[in-house]
Amino acid sequence: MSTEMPKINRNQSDRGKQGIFVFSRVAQRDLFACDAIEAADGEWRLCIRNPWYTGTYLSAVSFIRLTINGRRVPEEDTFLSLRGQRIPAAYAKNLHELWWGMGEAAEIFLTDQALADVLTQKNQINVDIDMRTTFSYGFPNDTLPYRLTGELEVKS
Amino acid sequence: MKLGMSLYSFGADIHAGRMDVYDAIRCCAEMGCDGVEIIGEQHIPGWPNPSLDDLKRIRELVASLSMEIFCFSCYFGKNIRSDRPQTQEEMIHNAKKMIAVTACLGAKIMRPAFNADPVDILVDYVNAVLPALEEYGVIWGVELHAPHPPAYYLKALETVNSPWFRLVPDFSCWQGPNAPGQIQTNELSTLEPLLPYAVHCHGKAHMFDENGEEPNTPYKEIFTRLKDYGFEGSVAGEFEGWLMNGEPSTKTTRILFNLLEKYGR
Repeated sequence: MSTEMPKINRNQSDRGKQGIFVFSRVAQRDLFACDAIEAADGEWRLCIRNPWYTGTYLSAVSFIRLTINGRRVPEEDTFLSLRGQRIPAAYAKNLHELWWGMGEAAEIFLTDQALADVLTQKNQINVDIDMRTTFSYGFPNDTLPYRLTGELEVKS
Repeated sequence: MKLGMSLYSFGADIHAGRMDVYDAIRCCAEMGCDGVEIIGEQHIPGWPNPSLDDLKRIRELVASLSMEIFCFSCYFGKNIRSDRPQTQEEMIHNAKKMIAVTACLGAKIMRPAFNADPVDILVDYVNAVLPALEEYGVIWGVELHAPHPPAYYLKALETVNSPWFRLVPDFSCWQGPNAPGQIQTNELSTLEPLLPYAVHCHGKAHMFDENGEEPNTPYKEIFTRLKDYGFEGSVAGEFEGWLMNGEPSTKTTRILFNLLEKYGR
């Protein structure tokens, strides 16, 4: 993500670029709703907030991927849980019946056993979420590509 | 005219989980607001299927603090599903549901965010729910907002030509060219023909200078025009700077409400 906001809007495309910058700021600021990755029963758990500026239908999440210390967690090892309902991350885009509230924390469960060799005391985490908007904000393909980063410790 | 605050302005704290709708309403009362604007997708518990009990609780809290709900805002998205867009029947069903929610909250104005081009799509949509608006006594306040110019809204208002379809001008329409989200700067004179349709306004702000003024937005000039016209609706401050920086909402909303009172009382 560029570190500088485009200053002048000439058209809707420029407005879209600026929007990606602006909306990503709040998403980055509030990314984690927990202070550590918790390890238990052969999986790892962390909590992220809905990055969008309102609540949204879970079906708006067309892609989500976590990368930890450079290890891309496979899609089949990534699960998302809202209010106790756990679903494979790949199914999120099909679930327009599930609401992800404004800033609501979703639990992310990772079952990638390779993480055991990757995780250290402090861990660099990349959270990539492609979020479709329910009407046009000028983003390409009506999708906001969140590319968020943070650091978390591991707790057992 | 009545002055208040959109709870949108508390986004920094609500998004981070430090504040909820009830906290925000109480803050507005402490500031001296006449009323508030509430957004379904941001503030209503249990959205998109709120309980009548929650709606009643919000309505009663606002009333108990001697305020009113100026406007209930919501989003009419067409791309809710990943496999297909919403059908017209689904869009109409949702609009009727939101009209009923507005009435339950005791608000007289519903502002749906809905982006349609050409404008005929908006006109057809509004016409399809006009009977429901009239039945519930709710005005669809279309928000004058980028990317569409004032002429777009004037055409919609003149075509529908109903007291149940009115305008919510957002001050961002007259912001300078470097304000976030702005595409074009509209002349203030474009406000004049819109005033007869205006029922509620968004006092948009992205930042403040050391004097508490919004450097990109001609607040004084806009309020002068509203007063000269005899505007009797409401203006809700809408601080959007929370997306960019996470300053405490209690601070930024106070600055914004002071600005509204400076020129609007």
